[in-house]
Amino acid sequence: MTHLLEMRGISKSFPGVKALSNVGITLDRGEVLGIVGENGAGKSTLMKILAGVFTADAGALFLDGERFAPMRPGDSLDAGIIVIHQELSLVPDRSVAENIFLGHLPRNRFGAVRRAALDRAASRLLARVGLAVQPRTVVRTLGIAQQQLVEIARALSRAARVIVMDEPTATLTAAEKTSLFATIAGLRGEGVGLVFISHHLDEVFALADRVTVLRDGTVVATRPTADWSEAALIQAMVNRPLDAMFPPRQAAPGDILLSVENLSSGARFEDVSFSVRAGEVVGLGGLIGAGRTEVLKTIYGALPASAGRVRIAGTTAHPRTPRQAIAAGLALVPEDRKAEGLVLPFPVRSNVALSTLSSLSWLRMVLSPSRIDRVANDAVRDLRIRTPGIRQLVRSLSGGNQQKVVLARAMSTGPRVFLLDEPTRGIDVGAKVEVYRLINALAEGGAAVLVVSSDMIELLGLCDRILVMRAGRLAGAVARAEFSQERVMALAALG
Amino acid sequence: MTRPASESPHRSGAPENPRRSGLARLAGALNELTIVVGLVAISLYLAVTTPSFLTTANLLSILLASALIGIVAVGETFVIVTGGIDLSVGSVVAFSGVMAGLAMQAHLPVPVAILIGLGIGALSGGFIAFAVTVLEMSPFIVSLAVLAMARGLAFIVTNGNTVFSFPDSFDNIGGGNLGAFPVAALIAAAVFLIAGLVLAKTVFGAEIYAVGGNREAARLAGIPVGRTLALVYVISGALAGLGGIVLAGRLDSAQPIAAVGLELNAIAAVVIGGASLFGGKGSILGTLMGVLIIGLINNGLTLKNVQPFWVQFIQGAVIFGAVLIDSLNQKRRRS
Repeated sequence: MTHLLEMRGISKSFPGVKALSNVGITLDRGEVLGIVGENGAGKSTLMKILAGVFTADAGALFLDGERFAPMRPGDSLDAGIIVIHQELSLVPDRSVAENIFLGHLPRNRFGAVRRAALDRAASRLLARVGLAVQPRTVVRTLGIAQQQLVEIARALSRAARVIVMDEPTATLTAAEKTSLFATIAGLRGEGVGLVFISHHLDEVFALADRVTVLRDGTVVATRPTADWSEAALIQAMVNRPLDAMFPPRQAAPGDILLSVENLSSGARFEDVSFSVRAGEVVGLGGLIGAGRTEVLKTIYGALPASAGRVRIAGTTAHPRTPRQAIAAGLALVPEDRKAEGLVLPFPVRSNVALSTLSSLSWLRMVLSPSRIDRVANDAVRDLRIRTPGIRQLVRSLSGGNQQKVVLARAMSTGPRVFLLDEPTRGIDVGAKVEVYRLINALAEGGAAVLVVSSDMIELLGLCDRILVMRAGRLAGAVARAEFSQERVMALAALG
Repeated sequence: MTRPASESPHRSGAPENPRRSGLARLAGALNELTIVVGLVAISLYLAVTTPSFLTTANLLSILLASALIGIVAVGETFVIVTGGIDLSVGSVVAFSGVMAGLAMQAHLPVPVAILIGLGIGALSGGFIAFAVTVLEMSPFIVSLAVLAMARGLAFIVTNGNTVFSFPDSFDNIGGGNLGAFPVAALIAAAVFLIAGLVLAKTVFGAEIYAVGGNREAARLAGIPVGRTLALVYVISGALAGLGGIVLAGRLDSAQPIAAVGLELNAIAAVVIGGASLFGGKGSILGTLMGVLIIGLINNGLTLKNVQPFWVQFIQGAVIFGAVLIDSLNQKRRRS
């Protein structure tokens, strides 16, 4: 019997890295294939090849037994392969119906959109995915889960044969997940093949018929779900025991370096108070949207505070701009390194020197190329940034090495308080371990470190104390002695 | 452990898709070297086909004509590298020129008149700077408004009349010679040299590139984004003021209708020189070559007796081509 989809011997290299090496997967009609792996394992690259975004260097794709070679995204769409990315691709200010049929709206002879036909067709698809909203509803007013379902309806409007869901549940509530899972079960009954990519192993166990584990661009194993245990899956993904990832914490807290008193910032968050001592690593946990990033940015002067104050030991400064914050001894590693952390078209050296241009100059005016080179070379060596040289554009580095450049820049100003927002997001497991060691070393060197992370295991492994935020307020704190996922989740979700 | 989809680390390093259009690949190959080749090619073509091209008089006239565009294009380079644009420069040239002229008609000393011209330019730039940095308005729209306002003011203060007959010491700035070289060209050369050093070698220059390359990252890295943006518009305005003085001196008169459309020539020169309208990219050396290419094209069109109406069309087409290349390059980098 031929498979609905087969990817055979797929290899793909990018300059300096082999992203996929001889990867093979199969998918049958009505089947859900789970794909799991660490960030950087090659899941996204594999799916981008399937979607026609990248072309494979070697290997072949077969659809219903026939050779299929997508050269661009349109080819895959036409063949009925729909990839739903984690970042939704809806147009927020248009209606649900228009979004479903975006790109192939039904038209009359004069080219005008046939509204009635559009709404009828949209209603049918909405019923199929189990979404009870009107076709004319503006997408912006829907919740994330409902928007996911609109994406799936859009996939169905194109007569989907294969639907790939890349982390569809990352931001869903439990009730939303249940309805999404019911929809997936329904699609499977219609003979659609689904590829389900997720970091949430419980979901993979609940949904998938078979699970493929990718690691470092190769398939570690593919087995029926029943043959996997959670421990075996994690072992296969990271190839090392979890606790070895985190360096031992020998906390010796000193004086309070950062103290935040009744800080509020408009509707973003209010009345947040806490302090961080020298040598301490404090986590800031909570759900996405709880206001964690906003707290960091307000401390850093990048968002305006509407009430309360921030004290930094040894200064009377109340930073109102990032520039003042840096002068007062703060450093921020922002959440989105590409949009906020790096100047992508610039070389490594310029990015490392970005915060210290004046001090790397003569008379604080004329740049000293030799001093910049020295600082950049030191950073590349100390943080083990893997780059052909300091003149390499940061754009071409891997996520982990880009993050190290951001860290190097943050450290360059000699700060005593570090504000790290999702410092290991989207970087591979090896780089994560290096970042953990670095954070540990900063704390042991007497810095106060505040870490925002959505990765619970990371917070538990890294921190001395975890503050939990919920809906713009501090919901509580958990000390290391009482660390448990349940305790943090309970504070984040229930209070 | 979230969002791997957005973090494909090698997006830009991906080999080119075989179906990519030839146009995009061509654009990728156009770099600083190709500008030089273009410059040489146009020169050779004109030298071979037009006997009057390679005469000292003609070459000097190219330099003189390029001086005005060049001075203004330098300021425009600063603005464009930050990702902004200044459409007001042509009108500011006219307004500064007539104000300097009126000052001399009122028997103020020449240095004072020059300071007034420069000051008017800097003030116009300061107005744009205020609107862009404090009011957070779009530079395109603000400078378009200033384009109309400055032109209107130039007509208002002169009642629509030409201001003329200035002291020789003033006219020498735009029309005189120092040895064999036009003073205006020497001034332009000095402007290019200083600006080139500032942009390439100073903290301020590095900040301009950073603001244009990623404004938010620059802000979070502690770069004074507002101050940097404000300064580039003031510099652009002040250089337009200098341009107004040079032009008034060359013509021994200041007209409110002067330098209409000069902003297009200046922007074209900057973009031909390799700057990106998306910001973060560009150089004074590139702009110099862009100015010379524009100067050569204008000169060639004159020497070949091309109808003036066609001249405008061709200039527009050159700008379109330059922006197209920029846009294709941008697309290539993103994909």
